[in-house]
Amino acid sequence: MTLLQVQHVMKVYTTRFGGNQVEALSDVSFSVDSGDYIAIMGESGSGKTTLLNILAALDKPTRGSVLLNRKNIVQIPEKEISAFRRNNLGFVFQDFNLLDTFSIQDNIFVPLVLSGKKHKEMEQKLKPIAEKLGIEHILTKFPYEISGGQKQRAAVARALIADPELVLADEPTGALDSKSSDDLLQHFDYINAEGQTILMVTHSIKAASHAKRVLFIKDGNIFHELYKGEMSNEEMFQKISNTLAILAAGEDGNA
Amino acid sequence: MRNSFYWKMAADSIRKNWKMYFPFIISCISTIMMTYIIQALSTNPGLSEIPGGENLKTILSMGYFVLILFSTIFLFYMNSFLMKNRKREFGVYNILGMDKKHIMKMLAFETFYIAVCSMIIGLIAGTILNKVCVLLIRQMMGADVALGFEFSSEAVVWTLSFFIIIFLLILLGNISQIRLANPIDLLKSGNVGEQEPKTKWVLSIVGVLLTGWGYYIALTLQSPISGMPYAFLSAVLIIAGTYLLFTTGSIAVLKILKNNKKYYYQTSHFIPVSGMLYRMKKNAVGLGNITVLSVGVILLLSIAVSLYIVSGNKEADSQYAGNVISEVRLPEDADETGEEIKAKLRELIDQTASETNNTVTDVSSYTYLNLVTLAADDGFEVTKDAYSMLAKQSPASLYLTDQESYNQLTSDNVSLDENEVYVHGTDDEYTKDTLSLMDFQFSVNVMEDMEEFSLDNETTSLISDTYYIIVEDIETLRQIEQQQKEIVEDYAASTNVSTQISLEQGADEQQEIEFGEQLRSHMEQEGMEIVVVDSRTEAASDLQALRSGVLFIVLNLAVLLLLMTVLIIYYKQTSEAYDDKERFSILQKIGLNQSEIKKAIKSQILTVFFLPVIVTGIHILAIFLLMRKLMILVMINQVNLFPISVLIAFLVFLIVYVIIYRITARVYYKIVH
Ligand SMILES: Nc1ncnc2c1ncn2[C@@H]1O[C@H](COP(=O)(O)OP(=O)(O)O)[C@@H](O)[C@H]1O
Ligand SMILES: [Mg+2]
Repeated sequence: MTLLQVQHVMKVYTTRFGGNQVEALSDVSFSVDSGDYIAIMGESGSGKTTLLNILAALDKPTRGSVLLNRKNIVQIPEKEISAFRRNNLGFVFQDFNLLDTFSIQDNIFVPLVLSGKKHKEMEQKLKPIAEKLGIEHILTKFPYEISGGQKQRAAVARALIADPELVLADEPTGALDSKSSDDLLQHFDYINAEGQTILMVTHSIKAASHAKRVLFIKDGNIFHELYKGEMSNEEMFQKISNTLAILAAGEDGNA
Repeated sequence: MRNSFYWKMAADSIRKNWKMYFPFIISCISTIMMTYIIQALSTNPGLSEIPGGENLKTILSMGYFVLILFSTIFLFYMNSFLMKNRKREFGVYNILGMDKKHIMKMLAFETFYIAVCSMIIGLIAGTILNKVCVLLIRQMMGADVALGFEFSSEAVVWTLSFFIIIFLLILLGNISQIRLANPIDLLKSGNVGEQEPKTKWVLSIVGVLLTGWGYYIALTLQSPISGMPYAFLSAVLIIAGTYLLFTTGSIAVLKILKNNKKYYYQTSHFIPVSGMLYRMKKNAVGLGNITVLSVGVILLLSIAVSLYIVSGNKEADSQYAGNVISEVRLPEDADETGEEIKAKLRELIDQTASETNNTVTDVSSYTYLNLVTLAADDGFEVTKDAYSMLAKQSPASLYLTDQESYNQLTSDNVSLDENEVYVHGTDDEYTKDTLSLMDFQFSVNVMEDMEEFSLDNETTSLISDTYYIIVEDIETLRQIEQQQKEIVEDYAASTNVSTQISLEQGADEQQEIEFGEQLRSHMEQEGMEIVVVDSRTEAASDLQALRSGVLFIVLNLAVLLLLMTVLIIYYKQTSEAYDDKERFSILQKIGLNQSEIKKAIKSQILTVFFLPVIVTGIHILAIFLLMRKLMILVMINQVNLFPISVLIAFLVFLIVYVIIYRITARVYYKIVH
């Protein structure tokens, strides 16, 4: 079943002074099925964050539409958009974005509290997720007391707690050492295996090799697409590397 | 590196940190301005010419010291805010290879810029405002309003040398801070990772107890004058309690709220409670400062308003029934009775009248003795304890006169037997049949409608219990005086002859003053021990001068404190806004919309703002009675208006406060956004 449809999305940034325009996305279309695990790869400046922000309804595209469960999120009025985000989307950021005023448990509760859920319900939801991510023992700690890997797992718990349709992750392994990265990607695999749809933006080949499908973005366009199929992580890694090499070569050729 | 480099660098750095420097420069300018004005007024030659002007100048020069003290504290405090925010920047310079000597040199250039700018602007503004003040004071004191430009070079020199010292001290303090710190410390200061504070129950309870104790003293203290050390203790207790309550009590309350899961996990409580708890450690002292300063502002303002109310009513100032009064001490040698002195005085008065072309319409004299005692079971006890500031019991003031004086004064016809007295209490009548005073035993007749003959009755009777006592004759009075001298020694009171002289209607102020001066010189020639010779005009002018002087200084201090409060709030809000910026941007990403963010910010700012106001209000209520007792000294019979003064002061304060709230809330929102 198709969960997300991105249709001819274009994004032009107009700088405030001088009015010169930057086309961050020119014409992006793709769709995501329920239970998919997608990685979007591209060099820095290729428009990944811009795309993710549009999918997250944090920003509006200049043109095009984004349908989540056949509902165009571009047209959701400003007032309802936060609630929509809380109820349908989960976020994992490169720099964790945990609030240091809250304990880990309270950080995870934030989306539920904002939705006005009962405390009992929150506790019930937290338990299995915390177990799954192996963070039960740090729930009462504060962000400055735990490691980066633990912080990112807490952030994943926060992304999952409201049972979102789609988890969006922007460079989730970007600030982690390689062991913590492996660990986090492992958790993403489990979560996806349980049916959670994940869309991840990354420029780490290793991270992308865990995904079922990899989209390559360049100069604001989807340039190429890879399916993992029955490949192992290592084989996928090799394939992505090759693709990136071709991509780079193409650039050299153009130059 | 050449000096021109430092000039440029210092100027750039002030411009870059303008948000931080602006309030500091404002503080410098206003303290310089106020110091200059008070100094210029206290040396203003024009003020000496109006009656009471000399007194005013004396008071102003005393207030000058208080102002200097406050200015110094204030500027150092503001500077500490500034340095806290700038240390990070210095740390970066240091790591980038600018050594400490250069940083210090740059700091010196910056200080120089600020000092020169604020001195120039402060003196210009001071000169203008000084003129306005002179005009206002002259008007208040009823002198002609003279226009013209006044510039006091003496005041300029004093103000400048004083502030140059302050700036040097501040610079030295900053330099030594930089020198002692290592670059990593410098880098870290400004954003130290705050841990969630722990609840300190014992300290919270101590805070409650201290505040309660302070309130108790304030509410039960009989006389703030004689009990001055207790009033002071009460102030110290309340201040200490306030700081404890803010630092530990607020955390305890927030923790309780947080532990109540039903309450805490609600959208409208979750963010503010956690946010406040998180930074209460840093915040609490600031809130305490704001509260203590606010109480100070309101008290000073209410005193100023009271003084203003009273000064509008000149007639009420004249305590004297006559135009001129004189009071002399009855000499020690016992053979001279009061009658002789009275006759001699009468002679001098007639002589003075003819010399000054005045007609005396009435002269009334009486002999009296004023004792400060403690009430005892069977009368009054004369003891040194009655003069002690630490006395548990408030003293009773006794005015004793002989029946002949009383009869002359009132044209009554009381007649007493030996060892018999008439007694009248101003607050409560004396209820016992006998009255013992040292070795004397009197049988008591209560006389409710006795004339309260002493001049300063209104003031004293409001501060302490006052009793008027008529004894049989002047001999008894003198015996009491003698015995009292042996007990209290240095504190001993003497028997005085008080005379009120009424001049013919239409005698003007000048004639009154002239009469008084002439009479005084005659009395001096006769070798009389003068207690006071005063004219109604002089007394009123002196009082008026006292009031306008005190009013002026009090108003200045109030403005200074208010400015301090405002700037502390401003610094606090801006630095917190920078802290919160990231927090709110994360919340927005997770799913908090604009209006929800606005609501959260509002409830947080509101708490930070109005918690101190509420505590201030409670403090003011608690010390109101004590203040009222103090204000009796100033407002005398108009003390009923004191609540209105407090109300006006509170309103003025609140208006300023709300304006500041509006401004800082906008600044805060702009930064967070
Ligand atoms: N707010 C913005 N205003 C103007 N240009 C922007 C803005 N955000 C991104 N861009 C530009 O859009 C392009 C894509 O940026 P981004 O989506 O951040 O790329 P990536 O995340 O792949 O590194 C870049 O050229 C960037 O400079
Ligand atoms: Mg990016």
